[in-house]
Amino acid sequence: MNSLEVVVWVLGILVVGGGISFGGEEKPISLPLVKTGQPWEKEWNSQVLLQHLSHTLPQQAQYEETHVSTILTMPIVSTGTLSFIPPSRLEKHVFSPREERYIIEGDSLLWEEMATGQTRELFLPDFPLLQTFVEGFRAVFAGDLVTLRTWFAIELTGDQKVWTLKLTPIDEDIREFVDALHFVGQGERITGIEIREISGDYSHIKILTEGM
Amino acid sequence: MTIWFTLNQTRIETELSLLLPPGDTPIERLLVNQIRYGPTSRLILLGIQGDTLEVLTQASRELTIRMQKNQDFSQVNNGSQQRIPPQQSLFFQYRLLLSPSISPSSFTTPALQNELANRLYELASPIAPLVKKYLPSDPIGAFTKLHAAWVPSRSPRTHQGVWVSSDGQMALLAAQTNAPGLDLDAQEKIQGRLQEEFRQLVETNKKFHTLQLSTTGPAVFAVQARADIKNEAQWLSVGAILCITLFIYSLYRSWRVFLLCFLPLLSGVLAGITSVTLLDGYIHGVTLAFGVTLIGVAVDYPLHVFTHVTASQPVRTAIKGIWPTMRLGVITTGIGYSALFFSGFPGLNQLGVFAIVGLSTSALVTRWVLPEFLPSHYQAKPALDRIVPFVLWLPKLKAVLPVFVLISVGLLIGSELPIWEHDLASLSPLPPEKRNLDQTLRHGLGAPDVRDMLIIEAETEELALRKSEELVPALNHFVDEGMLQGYDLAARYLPSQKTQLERQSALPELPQVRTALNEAMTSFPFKPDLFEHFIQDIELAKTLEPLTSSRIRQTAIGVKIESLLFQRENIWMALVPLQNVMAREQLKKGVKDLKNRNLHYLDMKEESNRIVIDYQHEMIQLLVWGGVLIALSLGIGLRSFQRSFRVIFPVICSVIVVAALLHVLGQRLSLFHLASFLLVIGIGLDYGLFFNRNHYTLEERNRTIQALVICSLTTVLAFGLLAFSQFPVLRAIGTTVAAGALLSLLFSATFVVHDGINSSHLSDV
Repeated sequence: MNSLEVVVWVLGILVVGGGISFGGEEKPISLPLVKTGQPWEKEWNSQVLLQHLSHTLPQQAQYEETHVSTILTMPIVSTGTLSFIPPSRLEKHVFSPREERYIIEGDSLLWEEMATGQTRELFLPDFPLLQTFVEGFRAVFAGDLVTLRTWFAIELTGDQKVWTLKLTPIDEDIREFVDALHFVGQGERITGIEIREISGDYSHIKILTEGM
Repeated sequence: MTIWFTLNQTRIETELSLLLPPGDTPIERLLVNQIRYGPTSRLILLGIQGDTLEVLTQASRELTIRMQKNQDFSQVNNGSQQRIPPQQSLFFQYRLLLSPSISPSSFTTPALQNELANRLYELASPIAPLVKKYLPSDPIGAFTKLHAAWVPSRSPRTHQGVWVSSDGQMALLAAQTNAPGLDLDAQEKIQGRLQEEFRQLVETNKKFHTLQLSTTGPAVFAVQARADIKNEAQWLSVGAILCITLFIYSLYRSWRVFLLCFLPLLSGVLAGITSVTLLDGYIHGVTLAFGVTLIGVAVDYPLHVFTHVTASQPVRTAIKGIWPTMRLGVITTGIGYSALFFSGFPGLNQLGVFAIVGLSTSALVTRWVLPEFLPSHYQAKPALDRIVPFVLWLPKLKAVLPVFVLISVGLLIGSELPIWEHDLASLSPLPPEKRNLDQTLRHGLGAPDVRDMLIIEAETEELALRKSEELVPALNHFVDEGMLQGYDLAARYLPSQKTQLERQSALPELPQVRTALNEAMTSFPFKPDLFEHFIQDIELAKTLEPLTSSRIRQTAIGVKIESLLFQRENIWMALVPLQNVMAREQLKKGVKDLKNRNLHYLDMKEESNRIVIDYQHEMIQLLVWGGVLIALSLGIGLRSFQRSFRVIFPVICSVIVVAALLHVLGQRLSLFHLASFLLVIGIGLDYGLFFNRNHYTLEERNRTIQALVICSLTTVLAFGLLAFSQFPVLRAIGTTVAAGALLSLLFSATFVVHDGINSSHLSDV
């Protein structure tokens, strides 16, 4: 399902963008073991990974997204930037195929179409699918494992060099549409996010650059 | 007995709308209904401020939940309830008949191409999940556009889905009470509970400690104004009672006398309440307040008695001596007040009954009960001997009085300033800071101050919807001309069956759609048979029965429609609330020029003021009729035209001069002045009668004069303090009665013929 794409970019943001803004007081869970710039702990688990990512993610990144769908005869490719401003503002700026901007702040999603100047606002709790992705993203970004677990079942595979964080939605209604999102990375950096839908549709977000 | 009955049975109503005349036409009844139960009068706007937006929105959510649990409110909205749930299968099914975006050209190749391009972009966006679900059956986005048309155009600013003011300092909420807006007691309780609810909320969370809640709205202001006026009236009453106590005690040196002064008045009030309750089942708070004022003259009765008691004339003899005069006063005043009884206005009706019963009871109590409480050897010691020569000198000014009156008449007629008050609101004006707060909240919420609306009358629901639709071009024209900002309309949510059938018949034939769609799809990567659902839905839409309001009653849209389109007494009415009318006269003229008999412009403010003006006109007529009745009954009672004239003329003069005085003071005459004039007439009549009664001795005449001066000064003290109130209502009553009582005394004294003590008149009253 395409909604996963939201997750993807959301995650993309956090993955790619996050770390810079995470000052000490923003961090909900502070693990004494983990400190910025330190090498990986001997113990390797999702908590450790999240802690590290939340300290090292940059604020903005360029992406290329490929959406493959059963209703389409060929994939749609879009490009743009993803950014995050703590504590709750996410922004996806699409440059192609058509310039658009999506700003998520708190529970609202503001959607701006540059060509026509039209804007629309959605209230995320009205759209549980979107909300699931947004909440999941924020939790990952904040290194908030507790919140993340309220929305997803978490599975970490691979090792410190190449890893995959798989998030499976807990809500059964959501699971009717979404299989899982896969969060792929190398070391302290996220390289791609994939959202797989039950229908067989999937989105792949490739993180092209990092840093501002 | 009476006290027991009164305490147990009396229901004091404070709902102001009970005073409204019921209305002659359905439109008038609708107006009264709107004033009484309409959403405008039940609206409370709330603002929470004092912290960051994050804290404010959280508090807004929690307060909303608390208020929704509360039985006081039929609706509570902080912005998050504003959204219309997107998935409603019935509306989705009917999208091709309901959506204003549907026209025959919607199904041509270029139009379809345009829409498909948009859908493809949306698929590449974060909102793709929302699009995907509807894409196969609604590639032209008919449902999305329908949905967008339902959402109010002037949405308030939101933060995290919650309304906030445009400067971001306040979280905003709007609530509607179940209780009618004019039921001030209920409203006062509701507001009390709301503040308590907020106080509890603040205590639940440390973050909320700096938050403050402000509320506005018609009912909030009314309750506030009433509380303020009550408060001030209480202080002024305490002051007045203190003054009167000192005054009466210094004259009579007796506490017993002081307490007995109020015995007839209290009995009168109790009797008045009882009689009105027996008649109507309740007494209105306003009737009670005015009624007590009206029979305030009863304080004078015991004062007459005390002043006339001497060593040679014990209590019972004294009472017998003055009773005929007192009786005539009560009867004539009562006859005058009886005009009220024939009024069509419920409030004035009650007032008439209250005044007549109250006055007679006071008089009877003075005559038969009062003596029982006075020791037989009681003797008053009047201390106002020195005033008597002055009063006796007054008739020398007889020639001056008509000049006074003529000047007053000239002032009233010649003045360019309006004499009458037609704007009820100006009697209890809002403090500027409250007005500003209200403006801020209304502006932030985009909450229309529903002062103006159009009403469309029709025989059926369908006709009402059709007439609404016919009105749309004209309304849009008015909006484009800048006369108003916008409007709401039932037909916006539910088109008439006629329109739905027209859209239905304009739906294209199957082969035609297929060709156009296939052609459009060539430029896009959609799977070839993807839109089969869409084609099927077009076929399905051709077979649908048009949607009617009865089928959507349970939905959010249905509730909305019900408030805009309803049946009253076999007539269907469609309301068109007009938002932010900027050129009212122009708009009224524009609506009139449409020459539509079934279209009415309703200006709530003007209409409610009209009711007040009707009350005023009724009151003036009653004053005139009452005056005529009093003159007739006096003529019969005194059996002398000259003496009747000497009693009545000063009263008329004082009413005119007081009116002129009020005008010079810058007060416009209102209902409250008119009611006060009734009291002035009652008082003045008594003065005239007592001045003109025959006296056995000089001593007795002097005692009468002293009694009248004491009565007059008591009244001036009691009401004079009110004249210094900051509230126009209290000021109106205070100034009128105090000035009226004083002038009545002076004028009556001026017209007395002191023809010496003549025993030939002794048999007279």
